[in-house]
Amino acid sequence: MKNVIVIILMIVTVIGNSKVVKAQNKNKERDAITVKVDGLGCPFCAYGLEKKFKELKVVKDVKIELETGIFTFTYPAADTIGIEKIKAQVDKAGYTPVQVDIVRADGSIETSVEDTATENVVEANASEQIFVAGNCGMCKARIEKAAKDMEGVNEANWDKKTQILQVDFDNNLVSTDSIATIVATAGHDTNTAKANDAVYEDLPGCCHYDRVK
Amino acid sequence: MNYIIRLLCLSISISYCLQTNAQGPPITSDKPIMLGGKSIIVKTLTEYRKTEQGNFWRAPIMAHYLPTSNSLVAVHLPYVSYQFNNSLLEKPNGNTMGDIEIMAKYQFYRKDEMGKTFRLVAKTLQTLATGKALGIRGISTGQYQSYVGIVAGYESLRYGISNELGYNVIPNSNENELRYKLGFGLPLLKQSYPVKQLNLYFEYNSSWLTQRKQYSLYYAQGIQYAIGKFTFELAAQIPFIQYRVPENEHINYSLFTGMRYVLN
Repeated sequence: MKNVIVIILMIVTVIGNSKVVKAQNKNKERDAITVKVDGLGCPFCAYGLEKKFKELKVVKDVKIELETGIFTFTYPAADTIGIEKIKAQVDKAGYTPVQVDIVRADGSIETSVEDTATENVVEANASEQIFVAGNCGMCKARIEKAAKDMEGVNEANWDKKTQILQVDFDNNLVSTDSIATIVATAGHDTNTAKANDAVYEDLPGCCHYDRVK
Repeated sequence: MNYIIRLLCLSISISYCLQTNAQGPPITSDKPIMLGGKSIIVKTLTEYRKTEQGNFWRAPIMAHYLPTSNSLVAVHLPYVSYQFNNSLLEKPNGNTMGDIEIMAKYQFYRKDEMGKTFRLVAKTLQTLATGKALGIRGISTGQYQSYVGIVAGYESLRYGISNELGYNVIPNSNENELRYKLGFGLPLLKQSYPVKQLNLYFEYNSSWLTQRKQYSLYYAQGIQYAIGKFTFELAAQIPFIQYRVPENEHINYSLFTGMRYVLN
């Protein structure tokens, strides 16, 4: 009888421990949130934004890029924060949430961007790399926006280190030369198109890259 | 006069020529609401003013609270030290509590874009008659005053401009005043977060006493260092114009030194 009781106690302990470990692991799992925020015109603005989110107490790994308005942090997966709650918190801080992306701990992705332009979805049949001169995160946002705003461009990704813009596009609608021209119009030199001097001068100081000769 | 206008144009041109990133709050002029709800800021901006009447110190302790992201209430408790040149006065020297001020601001317009914002704020400043009647405006008057104005601020990662236009009324006096302030901020360090900034300020304060028909224009040059939750600042203010201001009321210059701390 004594042995039976000991065995039962051992089994209960093992089951209990595994449940505790599972709960602890779940608490360690965190969702990664990225928010694009407009209105961050100064470092104290960023302080105000971080402070508002730290009111949620469980927010960690906060990072704010002033140039692009990109605000990232992690949140416990067990507590599940939603897009609307995040937007409301940005609004309470006194700024404007533009886009919220959540990568859940289980790998699923939620985004606030609504795909309203389904009729404009482009079937990319070409992928090219274009050299585009730039300096900083603001340059990245400007270059990618200029390219993505073109009809026919599906995806545009600019790498700050390599200065290469990777574009996926429909070559029946647009060409690499026309993409390069549009990016140059936004203020960034490429090998085939140069930015207008006045547009270049008008860029913020941090965006004044070395001109392509 | 020509010299003053040329100096004015030069200082405005300098502030436009040097283009870098954004800046912190201005020193002598006001700003829109930027910090977010439930923030508490404690600060002081001590002024030493040298005038033809004498030398004066005004050191206020100020507490600002933001109940929401678009509203602010504040109280200013000033300590004043005075030294009149006229030794025939009964008490030419002394220290006193100055006129306590209560301020409220409400931000009624905001337009945000990537890395920039434009905001409009309605502001009121009520000055209580708690100070000694020294007769020195902005230091201690012992008179009740009521001010309403609008602050317009544009802040971007390249530069910032703050404007304020308002009217101050002192009942039963001929010192009602139309005020306009204009400030330009210029950072010397690259924009970064956490906060670490070194800024230059170019600020213009003008005052039109509508009943006396007196006009004054002052220029302040300031420097500001902000790190973490602390901000330290220094400024010197000189008069450009003191039109129809009696000689014995002329201001020679003012020096400002201040500190701010974001408590929450």
